[in-house]
Amino acid sequence: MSEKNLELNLLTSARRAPQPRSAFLSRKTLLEILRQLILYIILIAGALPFLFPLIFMLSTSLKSKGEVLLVPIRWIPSQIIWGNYYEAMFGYLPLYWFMLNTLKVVLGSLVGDVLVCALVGYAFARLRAPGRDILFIIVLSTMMLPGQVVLVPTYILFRYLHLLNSLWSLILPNLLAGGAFFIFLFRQFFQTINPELGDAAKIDGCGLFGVFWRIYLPLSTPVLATVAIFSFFWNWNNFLWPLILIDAQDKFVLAVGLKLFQGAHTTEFPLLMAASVIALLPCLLLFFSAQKYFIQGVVVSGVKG
Amino acid sequence: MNAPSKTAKLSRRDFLQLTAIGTVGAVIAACAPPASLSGSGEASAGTAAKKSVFVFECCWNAEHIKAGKELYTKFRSEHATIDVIDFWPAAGEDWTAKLLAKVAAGDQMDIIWWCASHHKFAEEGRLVDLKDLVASDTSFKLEDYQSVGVDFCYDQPKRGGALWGVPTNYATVLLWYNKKMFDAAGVPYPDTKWTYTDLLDAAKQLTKDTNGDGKPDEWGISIPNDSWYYQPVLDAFGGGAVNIDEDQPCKLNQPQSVEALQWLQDLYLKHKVAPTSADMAGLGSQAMLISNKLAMGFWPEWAQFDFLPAHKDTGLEYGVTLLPTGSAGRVTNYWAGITSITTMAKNPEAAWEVTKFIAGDEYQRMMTVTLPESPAALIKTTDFRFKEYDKYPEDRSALIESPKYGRQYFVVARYGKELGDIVTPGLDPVWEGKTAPAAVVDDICAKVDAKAAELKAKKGSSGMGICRPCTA
Repeated sequence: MSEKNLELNLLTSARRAPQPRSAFLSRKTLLEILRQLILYIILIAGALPFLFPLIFMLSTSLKSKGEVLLVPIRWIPSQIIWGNYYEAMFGYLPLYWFMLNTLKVVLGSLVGDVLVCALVGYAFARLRAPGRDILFIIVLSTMMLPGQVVLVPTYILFRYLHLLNSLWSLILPNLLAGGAFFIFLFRQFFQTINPELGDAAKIDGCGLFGVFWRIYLPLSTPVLATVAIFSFFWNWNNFLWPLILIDAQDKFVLAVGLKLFQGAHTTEFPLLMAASVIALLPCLLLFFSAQKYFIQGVVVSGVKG
Repeated sequence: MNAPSKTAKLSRRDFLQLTAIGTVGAVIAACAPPASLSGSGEASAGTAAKKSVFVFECCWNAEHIKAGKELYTKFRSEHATIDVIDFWPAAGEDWTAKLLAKVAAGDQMDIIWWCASHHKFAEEGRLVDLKDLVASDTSFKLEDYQSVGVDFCYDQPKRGGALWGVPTNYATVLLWYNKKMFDAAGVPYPDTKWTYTDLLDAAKQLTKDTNGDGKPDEWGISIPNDSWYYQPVLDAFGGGAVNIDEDQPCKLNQPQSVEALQWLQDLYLKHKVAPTSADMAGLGSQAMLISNKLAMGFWPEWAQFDFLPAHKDTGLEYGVTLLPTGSAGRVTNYWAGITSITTMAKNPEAAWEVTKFIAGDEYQRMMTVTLPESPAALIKTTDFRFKEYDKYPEDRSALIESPKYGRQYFVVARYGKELGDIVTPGLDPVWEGKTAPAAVVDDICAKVDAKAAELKAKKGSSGMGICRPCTA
């Protein structure tokens, strides 16, 4: 081995030889820790203003009524009253019942929003029929009308249908593909799927519905998840329509029921906050468990939930 | 191989399949049981022979609704021929919107327990004149109710014209105080002999800068910049705000009114004994009293329901007395809640029975006595409430006496909302310290008087007004 080669070998070995472990790791680790620390400080500082209402809500939900108005705010109640949650759920108001009603509306609407709107979106995307595009524009134009404008006519319509004071008045419009926005989403997504897949399925003996059910729906997970998540949030938080269409307290949904904790002159703040925490939990759980789809949904639709 | 078209043509088989699916869906939707249509707003089964009476209730709170439903159940069991269908708005400021939505939709509505102003309905001929019904019913006496509340039910001053309802509930303004702060400052508690001068003197002694930063941390008095609270001061000084029954309704530019407004402005700017909105930093003035940062404040009877829990939970010691006297004596505001029968009522006699029940002692004890709400306008119910039901503060005599000094609050009188909408922004520069009251009152009065003349000339021009206690 020539001297030159030897030198090269030595250099290579030296390069390969591990650095003194502690010195190398400590510097890298320190830098990484510092980076992480700065990142976390920035993130926590940014999150605090958003967490503040949540912390206030949690704190108030555990206070006595007399302690709620004390200034400066007592973040940790002098006496923690877990009973507020029970009282909110089963005592002062039947919140559990409002939750059940909400769940019925949410699930019923979910079926409509996901399946029926998908069917309509599929028709607009892939079927040829006279006046299809004009019909689609008409469907889209319903999105331009603010809900308040059609409030009274819709109320009268539901009265003729004898559906006032019924949870069906909240579910039925969704079951009959009332969500123009969701139809739009489905149509746009289905148009991105190669039609040759459907044609191939037809050659193999699939019918029109089979193509939709076996080809288009399985390929549409992102838009299905998006619609499902938005449908859940919108119907869970829906206030105006249930307020107008439902009079009987035993048919109230959560959003309207929460308002009952607010009296004419006084508000049952601890119970209201406990009820709000309870009402928030399913949304939080859904958000954390379906965070990926939620973010995907924002990207797909361009709107926040 | 030909490229497949991007859109498939609908075959006959496909079309039939889709039609079948659509038909099945429609049948399912049509047959879907309309859950339960029972409940409020719908007559109960087997009531065809009964006289149905639809009641649009006022919007107090959840306990009120619970108790009210029990009372109506009792009423139904005691009145075999009357079926009451009670409707309760969810809460708060939605009351007016809900009422108007129901009217627009043509819903049946026989009785209204008013939260907002009844004048619009009266002007439009939607209310029944109850004079004959009252006169023919020996079991009902208007004398049993607070006098100013009865006045409010009549169409014209001095109990003239139609009787548009019966008194049901009320609110006045009282002086509430924090005993601990008075004790610490060595100032005697307010009493019924106090004048507005005494109030100011005490407020000066009670205002303190505890941390030495040159700004008060404890304040003497809070009289919110709201016509509900300042109108009694103007009246007590011998002036007034607005009286729609006079040819020139605006009284703000009278010398006594200007003096009172100046006195109120001085509380903030000159004497600095009252916290401004900025000083309160978003806190309610009641929260400040509970937190020992405010010694006195003007609030209605329902302040009891924030102070009493604070007394139990945090040891707050407080008292209540009548508003002080001014050069024109003692005056407080009176907000009257009344119950009316509408011309939609198919059975006015049945509706009258229900109306009497709502304004009666049993209903009112449950609704406004055992619940944290303003007490009934029925004198014996009010007495029961403050003499026997409430147990704190020790001296509750002011709560019984206050209605006797009540004057009608102009904002809930006829055209009150419209005229209030001129007065409130007109006085904003005064409360903001930008100008003296004397500099703006003439302009406000010119506008108020012109607007009042315009409204009086046009029948049915009253607005619904505000659902005063619901948004307070």
